[in-house]
Amino acid sequence: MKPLDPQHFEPRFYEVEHITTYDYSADVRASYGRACLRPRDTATQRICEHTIRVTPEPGLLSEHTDLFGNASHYLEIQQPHRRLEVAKTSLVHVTAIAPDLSALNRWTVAEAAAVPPPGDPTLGAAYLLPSPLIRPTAPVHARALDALAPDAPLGEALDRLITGIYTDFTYSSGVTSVTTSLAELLELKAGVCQDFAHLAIGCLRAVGLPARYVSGYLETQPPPGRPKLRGADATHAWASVGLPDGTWLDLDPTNDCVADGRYVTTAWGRDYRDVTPLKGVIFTDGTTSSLNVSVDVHRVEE
Amino acid sequence: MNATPAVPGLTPAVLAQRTTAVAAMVEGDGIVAGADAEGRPQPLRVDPGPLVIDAQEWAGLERALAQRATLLDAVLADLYGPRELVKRGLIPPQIIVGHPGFFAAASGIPTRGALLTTAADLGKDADGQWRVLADRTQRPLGAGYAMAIRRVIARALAPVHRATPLRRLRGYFDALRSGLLELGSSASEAPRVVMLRAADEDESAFDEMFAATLLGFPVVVSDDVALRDGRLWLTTTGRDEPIDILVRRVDARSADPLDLVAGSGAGIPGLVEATRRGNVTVVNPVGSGVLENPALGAFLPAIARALLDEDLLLPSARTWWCGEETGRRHAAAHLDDIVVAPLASLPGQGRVFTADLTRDERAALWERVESEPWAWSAQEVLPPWQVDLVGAAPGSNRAGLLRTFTLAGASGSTVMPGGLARFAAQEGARRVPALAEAIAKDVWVLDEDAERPDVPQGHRDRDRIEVPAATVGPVPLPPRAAEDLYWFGRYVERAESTARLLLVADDLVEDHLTRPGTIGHAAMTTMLGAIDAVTSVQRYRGRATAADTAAFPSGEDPVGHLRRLVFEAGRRGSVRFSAARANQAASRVRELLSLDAWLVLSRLQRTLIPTQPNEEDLQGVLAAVIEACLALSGMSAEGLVRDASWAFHDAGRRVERAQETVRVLRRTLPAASTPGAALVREATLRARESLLSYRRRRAEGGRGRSPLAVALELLLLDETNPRSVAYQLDRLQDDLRHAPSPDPAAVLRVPTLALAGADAVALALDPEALDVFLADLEAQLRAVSGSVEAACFPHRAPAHSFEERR
Repeated sequence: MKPLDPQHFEPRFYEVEHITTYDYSADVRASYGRACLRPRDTATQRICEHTIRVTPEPGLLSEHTDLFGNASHYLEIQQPHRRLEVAKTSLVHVTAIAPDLSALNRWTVAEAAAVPPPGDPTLGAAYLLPSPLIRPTAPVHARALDALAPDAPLGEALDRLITGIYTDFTYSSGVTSVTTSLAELLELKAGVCQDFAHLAIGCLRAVGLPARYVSGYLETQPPPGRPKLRGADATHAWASVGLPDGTWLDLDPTNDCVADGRYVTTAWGRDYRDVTPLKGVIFTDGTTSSLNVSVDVHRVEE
Repeated sequence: MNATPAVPGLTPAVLAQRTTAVAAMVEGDGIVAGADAEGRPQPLRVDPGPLVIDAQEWAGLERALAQRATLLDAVLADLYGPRELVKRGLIPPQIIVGHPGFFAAASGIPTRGALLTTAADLGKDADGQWRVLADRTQRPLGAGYAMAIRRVIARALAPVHRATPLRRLRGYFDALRSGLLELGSSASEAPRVVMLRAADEDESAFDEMFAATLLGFPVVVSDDVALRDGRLWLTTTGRDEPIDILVRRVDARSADPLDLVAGSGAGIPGLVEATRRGNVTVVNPVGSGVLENPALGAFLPAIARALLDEDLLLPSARTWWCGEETGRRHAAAHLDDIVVAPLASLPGQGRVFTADLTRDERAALWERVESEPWAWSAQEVLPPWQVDLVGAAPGSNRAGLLRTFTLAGASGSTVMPGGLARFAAQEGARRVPALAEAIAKDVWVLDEDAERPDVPQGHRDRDRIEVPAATVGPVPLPPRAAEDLYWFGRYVERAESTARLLLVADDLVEDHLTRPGTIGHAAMTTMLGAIDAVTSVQRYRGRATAADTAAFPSGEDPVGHLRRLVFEAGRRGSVRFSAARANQAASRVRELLSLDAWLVLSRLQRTLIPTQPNEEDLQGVLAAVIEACLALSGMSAEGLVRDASWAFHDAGRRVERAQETVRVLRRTLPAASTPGAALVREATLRARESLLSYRRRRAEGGRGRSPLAVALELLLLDETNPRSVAYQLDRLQDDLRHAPSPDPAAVLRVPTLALAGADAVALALDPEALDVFLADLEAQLRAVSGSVEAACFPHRAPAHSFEERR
C-alpha cells in the first residue's frame, strides 16, 4: 500500500453534499424508498450538522437504527411526480488516527483468524459468513490464500491483499453492475470501488478474518493547476477488517491505501446490499428513467 | 410403530369398499395437489382409512406441541430483538445470519405473539417416542387440506364417523380467527384482517383458499393493497380501509420488494416498514423462516430450559450441527443412519439420505459439508411407519409423517386435534414425498370424554363440517376478487351460450347433413357459419396441445367440427375452454363461493373431457353443460346475498349474454330472404332460449308483425324476456350500483338509447339497416364492457425497482 501521509491524518471538517436526482419518462404515482441519508458517528468522525431535503415533499420520512447500527431512512411519496431529488448535506469532523501496520505483524493471519470477532456475536458472524453479493468461490479462495497465507504476518498480508487488487484490476465504470458476482469480477479484471471492496472482503472472510463493507465519501483533488469542480466527487466504498485487538482497520483497495482523514463514513454492513445509498420501488407506466448523482466533499474551517 | 387403537367398523372390507367413493368425493370437492404434465391440477390421493390416535397419547402430544409453539414464538422474538440466546451461547450465530430466512431488515421489529400458526412434521423413533422432523413456521400449509379431507372421510365413512367419539377440527379454525382478531385488538375495536395470496396460483392455492373459506376474511393480492403514510390500506370496490392484520400466504421473499428481496417488483413495498411502525401485524412475521432450520433442533432443549424453565417435551429427531467439531465427527461416522440437511432447503439443495448415495457422491457431499460446516446438520433417520393402506398388505412399511398444526395465541395455545398424515406411495422409499406424490390420510384423535368441550373454551364442538357464513358485517371486496367474479360470470355464460348454439346446430346437422340442396341444408350451413363467427370472435386460436392434435384430426366434417367446438381445450371459444376459464377464475375466489358451486364446477370439467374413441353423446354432453350452467345461475340467484360479490358476478353474466345475443343475431337474422331463413330463425330463438315465447307471440297473432319483427322484439327489446338485450342492460344498471364508479346510467346510455329508439318492424323490413343496427349495437356493448372493466378493476401502474450504485 502507499505509505501513510501524515498530513492526511490532521483533524479536519468536511462539508459533504450528495444530491441524487431521478428523472422519469412518465408520472410516478407512488414512490417508496430506503436510504442511508445520515452518516453515522464513529470513533474517528462526528456529525456536527445534518440536513435532508427530498423533493417532492415525502408524505413520510422516518429513520431507525438498523441491525448494523446505521441510520436507515424510509421515504414515501404519494403525489405524482416526474423528478425525485434527494439532497443531503453534512458537516463532519474527522479525526483519523494513523495505524501502525507493522505492529500487526505480531500476529499471523491464522492467529488473527482464531480470535472471535469483536462485539455482538451475531454481527461478528455476519461479517465472517458469505453474504448475498460476496460468495466465496474457489478462485476467491485461491486469491485469498495467495495474499493471506495462514502463517503470514498479518500486517504484511493485508498490505499484499490490498496492493494486489489495486495492481491486478483496472478501474472502469460500466463494466460491472450492482449484481456482479466475485466470480465474474475475477474474470473481468475491471470494476469500480464497490467491486474491489467486495473482493477484498471476500478474501478476508475466506481466511476467517471478519470484514465489512463501508460506504461513504472520499475527498478528491483536482488535477494540478485546475480548480476543483462542484459535484465532481463521488460516493465511495472500501473494506474494513476486524483485528485481534477488537478494533477495525479500514482499507481502500481502489486507491491502495489505508482509509485516512480524507474518508467520510456513511454506513457499513455485510455488503453493498445492506447500505445502498438509495433504493426504492416506484409505480409508473413509464419505462425509462435517468439518474444523476452529484457529490461534493470540501474542507471547511470551523 | 404401535398398533393403532381399534375403532369398531373400520374394517379392511369397509375401507376397500369406500375407496371409489372417497376418490369421487375428493374430485367432486376439487381437492387438488400438484398438476399433471399439462398443468392440470390433480386430485389428491386419499386413503379411506384414518390414522387413529387414542386420547391418552394425544393428550401428551398436545401438551408438548403447545409448549413447542410457545417456545418458537419466544425464540423468534429474541432473534429479531435482543438476541440474548446468541449472546448467551445457546444458539450459534452462524445458523441465524447464515440462514436465508433471516432478514436483517426485519431486525428490531417486535414479533411476540405474531408467530400465530406453526406446523410440525412428526414421526416416531425406534423407541416409539414422537419426534419432530421439521418445524414449519414461515408459511405453514396443510390445515386446509386436513379439514377438506375430514369432510370427505366423514361422508364416506358416515356410520363409523358418527359412532366414533372423535375430536373435531372446526374449533381450530375458530381459534385461529379469534387469535387473529386478538392480535389486532390493540389497534382498533374491530380489527381488519386480510389474507394475502400470491398473484399467480401456486401449489398451496387449494389449502389456502380452503382455509380462507373457513375463516371468512377477505383474500387479497398485493395489487389490492398499498402503503400510505406508513399504514397498509385495502383498496376495496368501495372506499379504502386500513388493515391491522395481514395473514401472509406468500413467501417472505415476495412480500416486500423494498426491504426483503429486490428485483421482481412483486409484493408490497413498505410492508416491513409498516410492521416496524406497529401499524400492521404480519402473521406469520416475514422473518419467521429462520426457525425452519434443522440445526436448531440440536439446541432447543437448552433453549427451553433457558426461556421457559421447562424441559422440552417434544424434542426433534436427534440432530447434530456440523458447525461443531463433535457434531461433524458424529455425522461423518454415521453416514448410513442419517439424513444430511442444509440450513435451508432451497430448490436443488435439500435433505440428503446419505445411505442412498454412492461412495463418490458421499465424498462430494462431505467435501461441501467440510467447506461450510456451519451450513449443515445431520439428523437421525426415523424408522418407517407400519401403516394400513387400501391396496397394500396390512402394516405396510412406509416413509411418512404426521403434520400437526398449533396456534400460539395470546390467550393460550390450541392444537388442531388431528392433522394431515402422508405416506410414500411405494414401500421401501426413504423420503417422504410431497403431498402431490403421496397418499394422504385423515387423522382421528379419539375422545375419551364426549362431554368435554373441545379446545378452546368458548369454541364448543359445533357442527364442524358446515362452512360458516361470512364474518359479521359486509366484507369489503378487493378489486382483484371483483374482477375474478366478473370473469367467472362471463365465462359461465359463454359456456352456456356456446353449448346452446352447438346443441341447435347438432340437430340441424343430424337432420339435413345428407340432403344438400334442400332448405334444411342451407339453414344448417348458415348456422354453422354463424357458430364459427361467434366462437372465433376473438380471432385468436390458442396453442393446440399435443393431445388436441391427436384427438382432433383435421378434415372438416361438420360433426367433427362441432365436436371440436365442444371438447378442444386449447381452442378459444370452445365450450371446454370457457368452462376451464370459468373454473380458473372461480378457483381464485374460492373463499367467496359455496362448496355446492364447487361440486358443479368440478362436474362441468369432467363432463368436457373427451373419450376415446370419439363416441361421446354430443347432445348428452351439451345438455349436461347447460344443466351445470343453470345450476350455477340458480345458486347465484337463490343462494347469494345481494352484495358487491353477487353484483360483479351478475354483471359478468349480463355483459356476456347481451354481447353473445347480438353477435348471434347479427350472423343469423339479417339473411331473412334467403332459403331456410325461417328454420334459421327458429334455431336462433331456440339457441337463445326464447322459442317458446316466440311461438306463443306468433300464436297470439304477433299483432300483425312479421315473424322476424317478433323475433327481434323478443330478443332485443322486450324488457320482460330475461334473454333479451334490453333486460341485460336493465340488470347491469342495477349491478353497477355496487361499484364505486362508473355511473351506471352514463355507461349504458348509448346502447339503452339505441334500443329505445329501435323499431323492430322497420328493421325487419330492411336487412341492410338491421345489419348496421346490430353491428353498431355490438360495438356499443363492447364499449360498455370496456369501460366497466377499466373503471371497476383498475390495475396499478407497474412497479419498478431502482438502486443507486456505490
